[in-house]
Parts: sequence; structure tokens; C-alpha cells
Amino acid sequence: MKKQNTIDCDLELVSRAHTVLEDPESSKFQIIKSVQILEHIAYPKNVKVGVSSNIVTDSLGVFLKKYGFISGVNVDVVVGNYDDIAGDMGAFAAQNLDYVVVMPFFDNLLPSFETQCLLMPADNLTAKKEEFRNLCRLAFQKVKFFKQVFVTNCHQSGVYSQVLGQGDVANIIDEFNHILHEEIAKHGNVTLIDAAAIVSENGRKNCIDSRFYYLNKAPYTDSFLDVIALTITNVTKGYESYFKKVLVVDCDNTIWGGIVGEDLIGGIQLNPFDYPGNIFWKIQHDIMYLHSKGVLVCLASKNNLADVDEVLADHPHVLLKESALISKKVNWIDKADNIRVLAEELNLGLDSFIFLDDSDFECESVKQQLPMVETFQVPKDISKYPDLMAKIKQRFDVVEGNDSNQTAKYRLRAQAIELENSSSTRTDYLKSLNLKVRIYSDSISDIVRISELSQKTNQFNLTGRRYSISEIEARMLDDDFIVYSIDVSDRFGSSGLTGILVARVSKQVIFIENFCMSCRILGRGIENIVWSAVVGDAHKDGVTSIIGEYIASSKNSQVESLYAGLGFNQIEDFNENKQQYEIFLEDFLQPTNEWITYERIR
Amino acid sequence: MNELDDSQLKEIIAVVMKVDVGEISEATSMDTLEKWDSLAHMNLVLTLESEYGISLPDDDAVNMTSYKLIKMVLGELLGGLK
Repeated sequence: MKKQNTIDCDLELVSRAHTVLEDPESSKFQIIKSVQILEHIAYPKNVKVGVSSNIVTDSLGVFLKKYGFISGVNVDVVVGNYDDIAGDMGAFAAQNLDYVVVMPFFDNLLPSFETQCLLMPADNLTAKKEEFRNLCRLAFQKVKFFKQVFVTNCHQSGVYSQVLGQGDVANIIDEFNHILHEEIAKHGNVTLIDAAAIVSENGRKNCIDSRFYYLNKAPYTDSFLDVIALTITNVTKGYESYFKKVLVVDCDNTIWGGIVGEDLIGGIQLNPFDYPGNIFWKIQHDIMYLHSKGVLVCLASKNNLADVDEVLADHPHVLLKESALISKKVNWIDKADNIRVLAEELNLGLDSFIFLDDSDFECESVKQQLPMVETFQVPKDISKYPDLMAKIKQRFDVVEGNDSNQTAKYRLRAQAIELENSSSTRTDYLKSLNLKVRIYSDSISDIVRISELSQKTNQFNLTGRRYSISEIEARMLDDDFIVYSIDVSDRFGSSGLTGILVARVSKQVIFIENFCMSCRILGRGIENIVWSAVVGDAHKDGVTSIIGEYIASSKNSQVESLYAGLGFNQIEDFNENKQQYEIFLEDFLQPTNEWITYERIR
Repeated sequence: MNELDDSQLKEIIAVVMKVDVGEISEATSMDTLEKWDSLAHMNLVLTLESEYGISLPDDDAVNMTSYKLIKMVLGELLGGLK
């Protein structure tokens, strides 16, 4: 087949191939065939994924591609050499891969290791453990070259002895996994995939094919590799093609059984010791877990607010309490309208919302009016509800573990909006916030957050330049660069690291490579205060002028005139999307921000 | 599906081997088709198993390395199902 692009390809063929990939019943033949068709289509996003293992895992590629296409991403898979994990990592780094999957298979660390390890002299086993640790260290040395590295843990692949020596192998595997966990913990962008859990969830016989293990060193079945590929796609949020942040849930027959307006607080079902209360109680646990992971949970329910509030405050079994909710839309307004208002309040796109309701009518209505919101309906067979919730949880799977206080941050924002409405003038309001800004330069401990911010920020992003962890690190260590990071807090709490500015000093000019701010904190003059630091440093370095650049993207028009607003003059107009501005230090006037306390930290 | 259809079988082999279906004939085997290596063979066995809903015994799985042999093994297994 010749390379085609989306315009002249057979659209019906493409859509049929997508349908096959989305159907869990499709056979392997249908999947391979559909993947081969879609490989010739131009997708808006391409990512490269490397797979490295001490066994043969080539088939993983088909499934990574399958879930990639489902997310609208073309995944290019590079398979490493057999049993050369450290070597692969170096080669992958040189090839600029985006993601890497590392799969150490315990039984093949040495031939039939599960059996062999039981008879090994203790010294040899200890030496093997050390070797395994060194392998992890060597392999993980390269992880900063990638966005994310996934590592599957060790698990048993042979039959467990039911009585004799029970647990011996399991204990040794635990020790190896302990080493793996310790080495993973040293790196921010390495994520463990619990292969042992996948094997136990799906059954050893469904995950391990001994025929091809002994024949080709390819022990994993397609169904196991399918789960691995799905997990990776979920955790990377479809290779950053979607971003789910908000869960909007109905109340009646969704977070409890029954209808509170009719059954009253005593009649709804939420008792962990009764059916179906036990299911709703479990669901509330799941929602609380999502909340603890930083998912923003909102209610959208057609009810009397007082009835719902009574349950949230007083029901003996309620887990999802007021404090876990970012917002409540308990009213008689159309749910789609309520969701639109929520998106505005939280300053998040509707495509970051998931809506969960039991009613056909409400689900259909939201699907029709807001197709970008992902809608899930509570199953009529309520015992299938936990499985649906597991699926919803996967949509929110997060890579970083440090977002868990996100709800607090967004709630602060919601409260701040409320306060804004009650303060008489904008300046009064800003003063009442007690804004404190700390500006750091080359803060090594923030490398991961800085890189993440440059990747995530679209609106307040002057040039669209994104930085990997290693690129930030390199700039911090380079004397010609200064990486500024901005930390903001106010009377409601800390907003954390919310802005970065990367400057390159050459001779008498400072060139601003990029300047990004999280939109969470815009409109408070914080974007101006960073210049105090830049200009202060410039004076010290004998610099005479600052050059800034604006490169237009589809989302950053709000900062189009930032440099002009600061008094910079346009010096270069490369094309309609890229302009450069310059200002001489002596002409620079620091905008006044009397409401901000500013601290420079070195 | 559990009926053996020649053109279907050729298409499966072609898709797994990533070659044009025209390249697969009665005479095709691991020796004549360059892309038919041991990994591709494993993939083919797994694909045939999932497509025809069968489980191939070890010997057959290893030895059915030509179009004719595959047709024979599948014919026996599927015939036995009837």
C-alpha cells in the first residue's frame, strides 16, 4: 500500500477500521488488518514508543497502535534488542523516543529462574539481586530523555505449588520487586505497571502461553499485552490527546440508591451491609479515591438543595461530603447548562469533563448538547456499576502523583471568584488577597514541575517552546541561561509553581526564550512582577537590552500584545505568526503592583 | 467462523506476514517467503487460533510452516468440529 493522506484515502475504510479497533470482540486478524490500514493515514499527533525486555514482546506493538489510533494518535513502536535493557535505553534516548516500556520478566532473568532460584546458594541469589539493581540503575540513568517510562514489575509465571514450599518463590519475587520499587522511586517520570496484578486479575493461564515461552521466549498472551497497552494509553491520557479533570455526578440512583426527595434521608440506600446500598457505598469510595487523586468532583442533580445537603451532612454512611465537592449544582436547571457554568467557574474546557447519571434522558441531553463531555450512564443492572466505575477511574489515570491537592487549589479559585464579586474595586480585591510571589532562578528541585508546566500551558505561552526535564536541567546548568520559576500564594493558600521564564544571556542582550504562566492565576498582575527579577539580573550582568518573542498558536492570542504592553518595540516581523520585540533597560518601567509582596530567592 | 475458505486463509497469512495477498500461493512456505520468520510464525499461529477458535497442539503449531500444511492441519481440526 502506498502512503496516503487523509484527503484521498477511503474514509469509509478508515471508519470501519476504527470500529473494529473499538470493538472488544474483534479478532487478532481483524485488529492487525485495521492497524495496517490506519498506519497509512496521517494523524494529527505522532508519538514514538520504545519497548525493551528480556523476553520477546513484539506483539505489544500492535496493541499500542490499536489504542493509539482509538485516541487519534499514530504510535510508532520501536522494539529493542532481546535481553539488552540497558543498551536499549541508550539507543532509545539517541532516537528521541517519547515513551518507553520496560518489561523485566522474572523467570527469564536466568533460565527458568523461578525454579532455579529455590536451589541457588544464598550468595549467588544475593549477587543476582545486586545485578538486577545495577541493571535498573543503568537503565534508569537514561529516563530523563523520555516523557515517561513504564516498568512492569516481576511476577510468577509458573504454577504455584499449592502446599510444598508455598510462598518461597513469591518471597524472592517480592525482594526483586522491592529493589525495582526503590530504583523507580528515584525518578519522577518512571511509572510502575503492576503486571502481577494484571496476571492475577486475568488468570495466569490467560496471560502466559508456555508454548511460545519455551519456543520463542515470548510468554505473554495477546490478552495480557492488550491490557498493558490499554494501561499505558490510559495513564498517558491517550499520549496527552485528552485531559480529564472533572467528574460531574448526579445524586439519586447514582451516588445513592433511591430518590431523596421521595424516600427521604432515611429511605435512600447507602448502607454497606445491605444490597444495593453496598454498591452505592462502594461507588462513593471510588469517587473519594478520585478526589484524593486530584479529580474535581461536582454534583449536578435535580433536587431540592436542602434535601441533598441533609444527606451530605447527616447520613450515617455518606463518604462523599461537602468538603470533597468543588461545586454543587443542585437545582432544576438543565444539566447541560449547569455543566457549562461549571466549566466557566473552573476555567476548564468541556472536554475535560466526565458526566455520570442514571437517567436516559439526562445522559442523552448532555450527549447531544455537549458532545465533548464524556457521558457515562449507570447500568440498569446495578451489580455492573462497579465495573463501569473502574472504567471511569481509568479515564482519570494520572502520571504524576503530586496533583492530589488540586481540588484545594481550584476550590481556592472558586472562593476567590466569589470574593471578587464582593469587593468594591479590583485593586481593593487584589489587596485583600495578600498575594505573595516568590521568584526562584535555576531551582533544581523544581525541574519536573517546570518541565510539566511548559508542556501543559497553552494560553499564556509566548512562544510555545516546550521543555523536557533534561532540557530544563541543561539550561539550569548552563551559565548563559537563567530559568526563572514563579511561586504564588495568597490568603487562601499556595497555588504552587505557576509560572516560568527561560532567558538566554548573550553579550549585552537577554533573549526571552519562553514565558509561560498557568491560567489559574492570571488577572492579578503576577505576570508583570517577574520582570523585576529579570531586569534586576540584567543590570548585574551588564546587559543593555531585552528581546522577547511572540510565536502565535491557536490558543495564545491573549498574550499577543504582552511585550508591546510592557513598552517593548517591535524589531522583527518574521511573518504574521512570529514577531520579536526589544526594550532598552533604561527605558523599562516596572509596572506597579502594590498588592503583591515580592520575594527574590536564589 | 469455522469453515475453511482458501482466500480467507491466504488473506490472514498475507496480513500477518505484511505482504500483498497475491504473494501467497499453494507453494508458499517459510522457505519461500522471506518475512516468514519464527516471530511471524508465532504471530500467525496465534492469529489462526483466534480467528478459527481453535487451540493448536505443540507439534502442529511448530511444524505447519507452509500454506499446504496449515490448510491440512486446519482442515482436520475444523472438520473434526463438525
